[in-house]
Amino acid sequence: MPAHVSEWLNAYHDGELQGNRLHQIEAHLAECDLCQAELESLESLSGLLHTVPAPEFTSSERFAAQVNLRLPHEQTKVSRKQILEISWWMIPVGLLGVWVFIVTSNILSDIIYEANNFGLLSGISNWLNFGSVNGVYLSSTLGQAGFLSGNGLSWAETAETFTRMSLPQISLQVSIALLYLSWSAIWWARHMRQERGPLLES
Amino acid sequence: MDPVKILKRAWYILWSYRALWVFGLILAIAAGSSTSQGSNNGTRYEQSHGENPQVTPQSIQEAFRDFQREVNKLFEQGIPDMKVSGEELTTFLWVIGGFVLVMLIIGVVVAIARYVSETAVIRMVDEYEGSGNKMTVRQGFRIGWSNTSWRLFLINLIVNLPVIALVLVLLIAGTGVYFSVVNGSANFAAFSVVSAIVLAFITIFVVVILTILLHLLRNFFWRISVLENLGVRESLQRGFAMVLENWKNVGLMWLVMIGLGIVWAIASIILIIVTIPVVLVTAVIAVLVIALPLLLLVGIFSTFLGGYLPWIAGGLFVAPLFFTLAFSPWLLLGSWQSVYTSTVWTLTYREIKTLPAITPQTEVVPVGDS
Repeated sequence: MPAHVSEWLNAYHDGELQGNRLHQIEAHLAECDLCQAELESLESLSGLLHTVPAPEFTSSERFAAQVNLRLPHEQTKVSRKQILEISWWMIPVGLLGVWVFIVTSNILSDIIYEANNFGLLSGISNWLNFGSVNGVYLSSTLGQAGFLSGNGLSWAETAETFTRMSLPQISLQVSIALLYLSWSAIWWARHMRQERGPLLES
Repeated sequence: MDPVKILKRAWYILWSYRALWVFGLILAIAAGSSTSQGSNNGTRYEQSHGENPQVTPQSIQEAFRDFQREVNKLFEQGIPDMKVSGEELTTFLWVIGGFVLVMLIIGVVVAIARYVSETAVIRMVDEYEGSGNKMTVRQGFRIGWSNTSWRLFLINLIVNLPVIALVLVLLIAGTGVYFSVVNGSANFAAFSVVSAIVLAFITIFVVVILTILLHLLRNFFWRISVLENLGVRESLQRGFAMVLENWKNVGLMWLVMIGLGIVWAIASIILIIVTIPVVLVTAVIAVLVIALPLLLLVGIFSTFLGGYLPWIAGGLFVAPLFFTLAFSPWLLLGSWQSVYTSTVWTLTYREIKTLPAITPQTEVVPVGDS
């Protein structure tokens, strides 16, 4: 009688064997009571296991999602904080952007003004309407009314022209500088508070 | 990285390391001579009330011809009211040429001294931070006088390339507009002017931003070149990588330094006003110092120039010395600013170098596998 086929019985029971090996096992089982008994015990064990309800397995992604859901809503707070933080840092960058825009406008304005003075834009200067605004309405009115004349009128016109044309530019740049300084001061105060925080706690 | 600690440390170094001030003075003189023609920041205004006469290319040519005629007349007849002959005027013109040549030589010397000083300040601060050793001015010049200064010049040139490119673009655009206005139809001229304005605006805007960023990067390019003794290309590559890797720290320091720059601008206005009496005193001292050289020069020029011309020529030659001495208190303010800024960036560079490099994110191991 050939050797027992215990090591193949599991595969035979699961239907994994084919060809010669299958015929060999079947022939042996028909002759060997011992192997037949072992196969029967395997079948009964399998039947018993099938009666037990299968446990529910959760995928790692689902598990992570479930844990996330059960956590307190700290995540939302952090992202809002992040947005505030980014906005805080964008303030000086935005101010610098505005300043660059103003500087660019001034440079370009100067170039066009000088180009016009040199006659480079003579053919279209009327179309672009250069220097049409003298901005001395108040002084002229005062002069016409007889309140100002001579040097006084001349000084008033100069002062009014300066106020109308230069003051807005100056005040705009000063405003940007002051806003930037305010941001710097707040940053400094925050930094100092953060630095002193651990000291106060200890 | 703590910017406040760096600022405080730089402040301490500025006041405790006086040898740096000498190099700061050179930097301030160089900065003063290179930014003498400031922008008016849009504060232009017109006083003329009448109609501006239309300037045409023909009228410019005519004005140029008139000017040439007047100049020829001047050099033939001289200035009889001032008892100056035409021949003396021609000689005076040669003296002016000599003055321009001297100024050019001084300009080159100041430029060399500037880069030597930049190198010296960076190395002196780094050495002081590393070993606690303070160097003398002579030692500073010795360590500043090296090939590194030349590399700093080249790096600066590269950093300023966008500005050179901007000038070229504006010149090309301006020439194009001029020819379209002179030769083209009114509609085409208007179109070309508007296009040129839009192009110029975008170009200037981009170049200003690019220049600001490149000047920030230059601080690191220079320090890498000086302290790691690397070539121009390596310094640019490493500096760029360093800033990119630590962009948050660098950006924060940059924003803080801009704020500090505004504070300094306000403080310097106040200080300039406050120190006017001191400047008046230094001006008197400067007059005493230049008196002898001035008289000597006037004596020399009197041998071949007449009237007021020897005084004008002598005054021209001693003027740079006079202004340097007279405005020395303000130069000292500039010196402090230069040394402080340089020290802050050197300390920032050192601080960033000690920071651990950003490591790639560790792989997340699945819970079941562990």
